[in-house]
Amino acid sequence: MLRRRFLQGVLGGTAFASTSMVWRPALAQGSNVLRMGMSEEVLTLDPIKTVYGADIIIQGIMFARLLRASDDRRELFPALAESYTISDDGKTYTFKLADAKFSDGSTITAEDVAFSYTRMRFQKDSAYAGPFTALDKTEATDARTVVMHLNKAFTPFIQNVEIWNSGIVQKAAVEAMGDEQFAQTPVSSGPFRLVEWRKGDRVILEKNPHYYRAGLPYMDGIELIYVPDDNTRVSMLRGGEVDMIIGTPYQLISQLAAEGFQATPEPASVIQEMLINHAAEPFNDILVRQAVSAGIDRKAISDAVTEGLGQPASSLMAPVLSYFNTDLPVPVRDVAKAKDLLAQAGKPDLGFDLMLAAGISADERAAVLIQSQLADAGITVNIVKVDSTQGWNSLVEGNYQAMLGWWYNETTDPDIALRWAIWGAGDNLSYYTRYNNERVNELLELGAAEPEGDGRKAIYFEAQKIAFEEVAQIALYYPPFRNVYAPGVQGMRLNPGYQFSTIDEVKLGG
Amino acid sequence: MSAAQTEAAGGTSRWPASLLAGVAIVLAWLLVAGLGPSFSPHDPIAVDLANALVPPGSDHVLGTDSFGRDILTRIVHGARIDLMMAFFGVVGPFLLGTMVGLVAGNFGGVADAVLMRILDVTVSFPYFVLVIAIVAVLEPGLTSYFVSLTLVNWVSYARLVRSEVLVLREADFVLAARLIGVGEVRVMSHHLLPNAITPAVVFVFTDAVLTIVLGSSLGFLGLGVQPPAAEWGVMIAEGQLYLATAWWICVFPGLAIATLAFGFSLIADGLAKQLHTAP
Repeated sequence: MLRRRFLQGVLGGTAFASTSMVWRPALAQGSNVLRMGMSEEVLTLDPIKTVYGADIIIQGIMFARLLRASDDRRELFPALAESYTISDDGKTYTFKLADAKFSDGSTITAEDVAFSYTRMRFQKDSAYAGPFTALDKTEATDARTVVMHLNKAFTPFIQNVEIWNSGIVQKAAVEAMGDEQFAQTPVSSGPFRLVEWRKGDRVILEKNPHYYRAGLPYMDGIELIYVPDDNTRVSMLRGGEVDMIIGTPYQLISQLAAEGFQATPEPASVIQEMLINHAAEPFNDILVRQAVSAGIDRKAISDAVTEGLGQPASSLMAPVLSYFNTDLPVPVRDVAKAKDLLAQAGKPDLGFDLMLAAGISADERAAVLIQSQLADAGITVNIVKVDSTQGWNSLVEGNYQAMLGWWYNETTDPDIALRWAIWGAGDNLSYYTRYNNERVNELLELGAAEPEGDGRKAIYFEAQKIAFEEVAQIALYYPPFRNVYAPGVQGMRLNPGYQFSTIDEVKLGG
Repeated sequence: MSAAQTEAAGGTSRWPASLLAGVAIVLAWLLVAGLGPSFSPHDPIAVDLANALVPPGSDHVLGTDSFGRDILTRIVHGARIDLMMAFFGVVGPFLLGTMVGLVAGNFGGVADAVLMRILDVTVSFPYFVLVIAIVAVLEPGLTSYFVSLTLVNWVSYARLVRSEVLVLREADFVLAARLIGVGEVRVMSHHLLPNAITPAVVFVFTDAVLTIVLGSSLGFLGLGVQPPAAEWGVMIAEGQLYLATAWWICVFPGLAIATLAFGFSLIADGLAKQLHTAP
């Protein structure tokens, strides 16, 4: 549930704009510590225990992985693993470890890596083992070598060893402290380590002197400050109390840019969509799905909701992902076609309930637009705002007709993404839409085993085409991440997988 | 104080200016709500993105919102909903609270103890949290709003009526009525109620103000009136992101709430003077 909900604060901000055009130089004099205004509170420092936004960010900063991503998540570089080999059958991955240390100065051994992976993959309360289901066994064959055995060829696997929850933890520390304590006072392997965690207020990190990338990080520390209210966060940025904020209302972005802040929206792997229940009237009828899809103006919704910062959707996954089907056009709104399809379906007076979580202004705006656009095609949309937990339960139980939802992807590989969205054979029933197409399911299995290249591309292009034409979901638009940075923050970027993957290279100046 | 006394005290004197002013304001809004929608030139819910965020001017007197909807038209249509909220939001609590107060005050003893403990429990919850919780459980919308107000707001009326009844039930005319064999129900309905209800009636108008503001707050939180219906609180909520760039979206519905609330306050104030009782 949090996969869908954790970014709520980021994506659905509401705020109250201050008209102040005056701001002080944001960086505290002589300080080399980055202060981040977070929309969410950090809840745990154990990377396997969460899928929650603030946790993912801080754990990504505290724990190094076998590979390290570029700031657009397109490229992967050696990190704790200096090299790796994949067996010809694609089932055995062998990683050679670099010479690296934990934040307490002890060496990161193959044993620690095997322990971290086994724990993440098989421990009962591991929150996000899903991407690693192909992993059967991880073993340390010597002090510097880790071998992972997969139960099938699984091309996306190498992308997954960068996901935040595969961060390497210290076996001795976890065993000595126990999970509870480790989640409060972990030993870190990444560029920054814990100084103090003031619950409900902030987490203070300092430079890890034993960080494996020599000479890095450039900053002396980071403070992740919890400021739930959008308005307050923006005011603190303007007042120089924080150096950057995560999650800014669309309406304020251009204003903050005009004031001199770095407010360029960052590409996200997020897709905003209308989820529809294929197991119930009226969306069990493909003609109805196509009619509703034809009656919606995605460009108008994208422009109005994101102030022109987003992109109208043309597939069921975001364009930053690999093998995004570029052949599919953004559907053009066609009211006559919508009416025609409804007549064919025998439902000229269609009406349905559109559920959305109360308090998310972007969703409320989208709902009003959908309602007004579909009215032109003779479709009555009844907007039902519900508490977000109640909405999530209705979705999981299939007790809904249509609902506004969204999701993001940790990697740029389409495998996890499409398995989340349109894989009817999966636990989440195609994101609880109950969409199930045998051919699509088959294609996703083929795609996972296929090596990178045109063959894999063709598979994912076909899967996206089928699902989009059958209107598995009504994809609306691709929103960007909306972080705003003070002018002195150099090189800070949130990658599409929701990680500040180059934070060790960030400098503060000006 | 009996009904006869009330009349002697204020019946022949002039009506307080505040009462007249309040009645005039509320009547004006009633007129707008009743007739306005038939005259408004625009559609209150039709989206016209080409004309979004138009400042106040000749075509759109009070400007348009971020969906291109005419603000004036939406305020006029919203007046119906807000006045309805004020009316129904007060009627339920008034009826329930008066009954409870009457019964508790008249019978005393166990009935009083039980009813007053229920009242204490209701009061012990934070007011706003309780209203929101009930609305959220029932599913957001106007009906659940009225239900939740009835369940929460009756306490004020119950207390007001009960305290009056406690005094009145020892009054000579009530004792006399009982002595000549008038039944309990009739004593309550014909002798106690008419004399005990004055403070509650005055409070109705104060409460109407609170109800509108509360209803707008719920609309603001997304739990009141559902989109695309025009409601003043919802309009302000939708406009808050544009406060710096398009002030008119928030300001005009805000003025509408303020004037209507002011009107009700004046009536409450005037009635209190007129009836010589504090609200």
